[in-house]
Amino acid sequence: MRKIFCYLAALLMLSTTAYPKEMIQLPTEELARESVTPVFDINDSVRNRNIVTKEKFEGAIFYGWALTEPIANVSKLGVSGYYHRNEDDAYGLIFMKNFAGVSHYAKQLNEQYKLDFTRAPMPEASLMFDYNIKAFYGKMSISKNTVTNYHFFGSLAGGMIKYQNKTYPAIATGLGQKFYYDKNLSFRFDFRVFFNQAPIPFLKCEPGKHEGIKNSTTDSCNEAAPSYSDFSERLTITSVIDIGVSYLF
Amino acid sequence: MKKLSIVLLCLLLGSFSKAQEADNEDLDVIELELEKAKPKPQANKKTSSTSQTETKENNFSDLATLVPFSEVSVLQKRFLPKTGRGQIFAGLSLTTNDPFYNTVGATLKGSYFLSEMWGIEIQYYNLTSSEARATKELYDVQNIGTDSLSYTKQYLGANVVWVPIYGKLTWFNKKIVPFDFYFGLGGGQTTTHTKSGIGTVQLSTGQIFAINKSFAIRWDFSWNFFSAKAINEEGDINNLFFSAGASFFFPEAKYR
Repeated sequence: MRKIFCYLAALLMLSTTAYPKEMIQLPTEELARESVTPVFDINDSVRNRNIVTKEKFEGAIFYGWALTEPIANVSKLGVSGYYHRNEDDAYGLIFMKNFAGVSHYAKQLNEQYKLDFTRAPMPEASLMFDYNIKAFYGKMSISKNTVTNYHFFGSLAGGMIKYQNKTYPAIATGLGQKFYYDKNLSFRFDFRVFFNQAPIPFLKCEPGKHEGIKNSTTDSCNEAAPSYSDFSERLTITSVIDIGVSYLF
Repeated sequence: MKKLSIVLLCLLLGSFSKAQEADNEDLDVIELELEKAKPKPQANKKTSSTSQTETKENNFSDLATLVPFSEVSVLQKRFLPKTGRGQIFAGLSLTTNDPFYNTVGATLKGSYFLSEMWGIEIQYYNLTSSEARATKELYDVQNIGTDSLSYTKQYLGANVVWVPIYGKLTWFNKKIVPFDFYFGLGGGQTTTHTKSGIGTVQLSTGQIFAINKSFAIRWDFSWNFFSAKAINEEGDINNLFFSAGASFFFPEAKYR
């Protein structure tokens, strides 16, 4: 029994010496000034989103500007519809209708060199299936007065581009941003690069077959105007900016 | 013996919990010190104390006479402070709207921020161009050269930078990325392959994504307007440059 009391006393002494209770005073200048974000197993940075897109539909109308198109009209109008599977991705359809006519450069070439590019087949419309990966969601303070919600996403699309004579498969990849005016309405900007087969709009006279795109009464070529099938094809890369409004419902 | 072991266990647990209490107290002290180290919001204290007395004296009907806030801060402190700091940006640029030439190059920009919203920036673009496929075809098929079509070789200019928008993004709901959204207006001189010293007006917009308080990823669109030869005649040309690169801010941020 005495032994037990001895052990007990020893244990108590050891336990108190192992965990001394003392006040640690640190000088102010040695204290940490930086804030450190704790690392959690499940890192969930936004719990209450102002804009909830999960299982919602979205419709948009937009104007498209083909930045690197040399000959065809650079403008188009489009509509799109998306379904947001969750907060991370969405998929939908885009339909774009090209403006008729030719570009400013093509008009200049016609004035200077009598090159009539209206003889070449021009793009008429596009239909694409678009997948959006909504990597970034955020909030912006505009001059510290209002908060605007914001989405920054990647886009990968595949579909068809219809020219006057033929329809070609196309893919497009790009980046987009949406700035929310309220919980439903947003301004949407997309920058996409399109890759597709397309007719080459340049064509020279083939004696005995057809005239080229040059339409001059004074030159030596007096063949019939070319048909769309006379134009050969190649891979065409076009960068396009879309600006529009989008509604979430 | 069984009783004894229970007593023993209780004593041990008691001593451990005491140790935990000591740890907690240490933590409390550190937290207290941190609280003390924080700058005191003097104005808020005054308003809170006065408002306390006022609420005692006034009725709810007097709430209508309250003065509206002159400024409402809607987000937390900026992660990347800019006031009184410089920025060096280096990146790659390309012309996005030239159908006849593929123009790429390097961009160097140096900025100084007078406040969080206003800054000045000097920028230099050095670009190289190659003929686009349409240009080669125009020459090969139609025998029309585009040598007279102007393309930019260099641009040197200065901008006033306005940063009205500050925000935070979450990357797949996992990481917060603070950013600034800015606009620029300025001018400079463009050098094309045929002419130098062409007066140019520039509009720009872009975003700076802060990685830490000194380093950021930045992209922007700069739209340059100048007059030069386009298809054998003098005309207005606009170059829409896309630039992306990294920014370094100096000196080190002193606060936060």
